[in-house]
Amino acid sequence: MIDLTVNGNRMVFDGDDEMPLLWYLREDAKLHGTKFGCGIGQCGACTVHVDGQAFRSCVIPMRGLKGAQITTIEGLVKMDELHAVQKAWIEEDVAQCGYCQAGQIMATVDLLKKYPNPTDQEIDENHTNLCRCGTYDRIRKAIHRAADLMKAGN
Amino acid sequence: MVISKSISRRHALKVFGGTGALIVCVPMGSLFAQGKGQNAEDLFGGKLGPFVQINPDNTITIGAPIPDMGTGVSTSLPMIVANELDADWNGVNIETLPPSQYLNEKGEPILNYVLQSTGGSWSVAKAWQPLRECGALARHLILCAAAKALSVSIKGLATKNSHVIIKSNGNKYPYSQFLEAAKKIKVPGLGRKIYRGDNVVNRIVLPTAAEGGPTIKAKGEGDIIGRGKGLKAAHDIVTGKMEFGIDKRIENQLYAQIERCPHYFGDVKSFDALDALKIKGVVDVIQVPNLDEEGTSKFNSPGVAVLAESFWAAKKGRDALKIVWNKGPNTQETNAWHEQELRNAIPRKTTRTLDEKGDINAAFTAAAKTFEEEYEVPFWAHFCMEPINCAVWVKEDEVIAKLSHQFPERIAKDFSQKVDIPFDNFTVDIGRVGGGYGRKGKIDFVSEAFFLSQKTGRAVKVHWTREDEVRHGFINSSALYRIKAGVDKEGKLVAWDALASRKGTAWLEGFPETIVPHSRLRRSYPQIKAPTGAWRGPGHNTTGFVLECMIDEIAIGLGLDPLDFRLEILGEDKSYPYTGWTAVPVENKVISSSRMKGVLRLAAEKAGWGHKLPKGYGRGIASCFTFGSYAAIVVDVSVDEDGKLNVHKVTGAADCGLVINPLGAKAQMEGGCMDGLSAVLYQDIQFKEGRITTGNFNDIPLVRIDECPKKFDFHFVDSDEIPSGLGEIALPPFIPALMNAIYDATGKRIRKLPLGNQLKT
Repeated sequence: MIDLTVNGNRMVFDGDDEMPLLWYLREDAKLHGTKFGCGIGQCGACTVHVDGQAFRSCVIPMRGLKGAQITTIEGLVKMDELHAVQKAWIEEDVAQCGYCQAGQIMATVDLLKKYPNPTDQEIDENHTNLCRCGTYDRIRKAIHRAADLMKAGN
Repeated sequence: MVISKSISRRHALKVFGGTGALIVCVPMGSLFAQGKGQNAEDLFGGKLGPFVQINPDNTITIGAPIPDMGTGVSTSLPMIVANELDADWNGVNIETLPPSQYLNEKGEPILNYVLQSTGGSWSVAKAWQPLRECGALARHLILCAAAKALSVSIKGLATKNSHVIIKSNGNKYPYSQFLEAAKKIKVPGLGRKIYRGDNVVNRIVLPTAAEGGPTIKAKGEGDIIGRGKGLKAAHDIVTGKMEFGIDKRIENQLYAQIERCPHYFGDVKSFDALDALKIKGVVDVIQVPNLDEEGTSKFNSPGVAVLAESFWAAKKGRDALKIVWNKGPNTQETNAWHEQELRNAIPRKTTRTLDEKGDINAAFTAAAKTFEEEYEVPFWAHFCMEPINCAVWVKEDEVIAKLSHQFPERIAKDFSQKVDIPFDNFTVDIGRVGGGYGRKGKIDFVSEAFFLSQKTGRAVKVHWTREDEVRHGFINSSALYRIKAGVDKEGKLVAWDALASRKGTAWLEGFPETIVPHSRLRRSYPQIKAPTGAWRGPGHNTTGFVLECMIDEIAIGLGLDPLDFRLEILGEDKSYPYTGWTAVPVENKVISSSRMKGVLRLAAEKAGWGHKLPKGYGRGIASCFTFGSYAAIVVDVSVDEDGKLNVHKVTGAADCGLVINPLGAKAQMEGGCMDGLSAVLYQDIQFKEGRITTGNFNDIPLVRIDECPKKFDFHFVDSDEIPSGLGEIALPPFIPALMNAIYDATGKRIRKLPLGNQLKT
């Protein structure tokens, strides 16, 4: 029996504890914003926050998540207000197909905690999620814009 | 095949009534035949035409008829309607429309209103005219109703931001105020007509303005077209609410994973499912045969399906299967074998001349200088970000299908007869497509879901993994090209002899072949069985590289500037016949030297072509014509001493006719270039024993943000031509522009992809 918190809601899981968190979120918790891209932690489409840090949920087995606080893309909105990173993503018109973008956003929220004012080089070295549509130029602009929005108190 | 017999009011509402209604295979043409009248209420169930619904709060719901796989068509197509309608864009909601089609009396499937599939950069080109007509019709109905209600002539009224305005006093009235009356306006001469082209579409026919019909806007009229608009889907995407095909589920669905025979044209020899069936959650194990016994090309990969209550249980069950494969007849196929076979195919009698003009032999004999080179490209996989998936429930007399697909109309069309369920009883729910690139136009994975649902009697979601997608794809053909060019003593290109040894079509048409006086195009037929199919910019994606690098080689060999040489070849402003495929209508099927020179000049000017670059830097240019649109790309690179490539800047110009959404158009240019960079740096699918061994992003990581150029600069030619596409336009010239830049920086001519370690030696 594993108890965990997902987007502020207490949850209990008693299934196969080898199952990665991704499938718990998508199928049990019915939170389909977190995406399956590779299953081996290489692409980042499944990025969520575990205890405040970005992780690739496709390679985290449920058994390690006792008492964990999980935040998914659905939990990023607070009191109907988009997170600054989400706002920046809309303002820079980042998405093409959009499939990887929840993961990109979750990775960026974490990146901006560590680098509140990131340089291009810091983004290059720390943001590793794959976007098959190639929206990286706009992702980079959106990361800078989100940093500005957060400094301005958004 | 069962043809719909009765057309009821309920059916009409099912097609066009608000949200929640899905399909849709109703012969609307018959409604006209019944002569029930020609007002919107009768024809469109309360909508003002097939794509426009005005809501009581004066917001407007516009139908997006074509699946969006990242090309932005769920924004740009509604923009066309909204522009004609003078809608307030901020008050426009988008509704994704399911496929709408019917069978005529001969059992032939007819599409309603517009082509609803996506590929070949055709979405905007094919939907442009029908959508603007539908937008104009809706505005016309509002205007007619307003004129009556306000006792003002139509000429005395204007429309803007979803309001009717009385010109004389400036009074404004929301469209919604006239909705009920507008639905009842009869439009004499409004009808339907079957258009036959690449597809058969039953379009709306409007009376002209002179006949009392709507006025369609000219270029520059309206507040929406040509203004950069962000994706309407952006909010749903950034909050995780957007439903992709993979997110859609049918109640009580089983999850199926299939361990498919890794060897193409191989099969299951025997299997043991005992351990798989012991896994908790596994419900059944079913052998999946070849689902297209009559076909000669590869359809699906036969295998063994594990059906379970969850993805994870299905995966564990699949891992527990013990299968002995019949490896099939192609186990000799490896990468080295493919390369040799491309070469071996050339001298065979099967090599065919596709096109020839002038006297190629005499031209080469007389040429002052000849150039002859070989270029090679490997296989490229699609790597759709959203792995392939399809949920189907074949009930007794009904089919529900939920998936992402580029050709949603194929579901009913391909399966109605196979499952013996009437065309009309198909409900097809298309999710946003998480990348398609041609792969999601195939039907193999849909067939798997139909087969398994029929076998179990339950809803089944076939869920592919990344490895499944790479190993069971229909990938981009590898190829060997030989190009020979002859130049006369004035330095003019006079002879062009191009040969493609490639499993797929050659795609060698266009410039320079069409313009050179003596030319020949040939194709060889390598006996490679690796399954191939459409990949972003089919054919052009690799011939762009070959033709435009060869032009560069000739220019440099003659000591000429590569831009000047291109402009010289293109010569006078002229339209030439084009025999390749295009998305634009047949009457526009020419290739124009003037439009090609236009994009070359614009890209060169914006890139600062001719300006001196720092040491170690290089700049390259290339231009291509793809499916009706023209693009030129200039790339600036540097190469470090250790051979590391840095792509600094990409400048581009495109002529795709009228640009609907400049912001989205630039996104397609950016994406096309990045896809080209990923292909050049990483794509090299590996084969062994007639199977693909490459599996996931640990084998081929594809480009990440650190390799993305720091500057993109894209421009569009101000064109009076009808819109053509952009999804596949940037990649074909990007790759050669990059390779030409690498040559400029290093003196190394890359003639074989991928780039690999070629700059390190």
